[in-house]
Amino acid sequence: MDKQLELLQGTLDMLILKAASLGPLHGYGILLRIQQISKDRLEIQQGSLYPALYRLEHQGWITSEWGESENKRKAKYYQLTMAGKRRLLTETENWNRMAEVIAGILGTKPEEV
Amino acid sequence: MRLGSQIRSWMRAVMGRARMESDMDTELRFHMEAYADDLQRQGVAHEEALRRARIEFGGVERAKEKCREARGVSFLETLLQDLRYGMRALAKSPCFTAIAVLTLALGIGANTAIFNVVNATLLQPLPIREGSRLVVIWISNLEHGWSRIGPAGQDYLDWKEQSKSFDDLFMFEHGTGTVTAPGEPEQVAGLRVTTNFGDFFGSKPVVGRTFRLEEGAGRHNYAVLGYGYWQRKFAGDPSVLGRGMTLNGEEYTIIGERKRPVDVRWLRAAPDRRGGGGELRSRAARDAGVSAGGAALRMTRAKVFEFTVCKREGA
Repeated sequence: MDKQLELLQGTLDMLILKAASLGPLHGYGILLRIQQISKDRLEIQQGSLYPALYRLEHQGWITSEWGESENKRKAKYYQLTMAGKRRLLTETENWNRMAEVIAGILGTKPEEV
Repeated sequence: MRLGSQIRSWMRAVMGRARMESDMDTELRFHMEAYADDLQRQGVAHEEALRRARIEFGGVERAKEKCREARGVSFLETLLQDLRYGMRALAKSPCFTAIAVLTLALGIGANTAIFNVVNATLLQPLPIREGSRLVVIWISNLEHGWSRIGPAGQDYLDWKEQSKSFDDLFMFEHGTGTVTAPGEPEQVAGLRVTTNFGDFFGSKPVVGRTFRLEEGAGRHNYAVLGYGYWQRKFAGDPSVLGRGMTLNGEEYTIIGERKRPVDVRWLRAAPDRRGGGGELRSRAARDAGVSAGGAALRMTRAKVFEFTVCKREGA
């Protein structure tokens, strides 16, 4: 396994929104899905997941509901709200633009200046 | 950020704090147990799996604290804690508390009192018809070095007839007089007014009536008593209506009792072109008429616009 990348500040919210947009998940499920999609290349502090979930719920991007897990345990499931879907779109767009700009800057060669 | 969801989560946080805490416990425990299960499936021993799940989760209490913060609960909790701490601190030093409370009480009380006065005298409109349009007119004669003196009765009549700038005019004079009957002789303060005075200060008499316009031309003198005077001198007896009283040696008939203005009697004055105005003219020209103008209006909460009408010689 490659060395894991530390998560950039402020990006966890975006990743949670994306993971929850693929279907209702409990907190642990969200963590697993992010790790699965990223092929374990991101290091996510497990404890930091929940404050982020609570914050997103407080802001109205996601809602929660108690349900039963695969192994018959009581678990809290999160899913995106309509506002959350819109939020995810904007965040994705902003991220792509930011990444493009940064990549452009970092890729500049001396003769291009 | 949506206000609705915030309010809901605050409500949940405040109303069901205990429930929220236990929900949070359940949720975090589920996470660690699910992770431990996964580890066991990979062949880690039960105890070891739980231990590793706890370690990798990080500080549980810290995570919980951050969750509460994320919900905006901690603001309320901190506030409540601060309030409780404040109460304890105050209870601990009663002397300081007493002084602080007293200072606040005096400060608030003084402010309220001042506001009441300012409100009554400056902010509220006059309790009379179109009070903001009421003005006091004085006469100045710079040649003689007279400034702000009351107009003569003749001037008043001329203005009333010829002026186009004013809807109506009335004349008044503030002063004291001596009542020699009934009862013991007594000096009282009062207003001498023209009979249309009641049109300006629309309040109704408590008992009886005010002056009638046509009474201005008659030979009779009429008096309207101030409420306080009526109570003091006649014990509020309504049968004094129609009785006579002697003021400054002249006979007056009492026709009414009023609540306003404050504690003054209203006395009829009759400026007219035949004789009657002579007295008023000579009296009104005295200083009393001048200062009384301002005083009477202040008393009735007037916004006083000062008009100085320059009187030319012979006008």
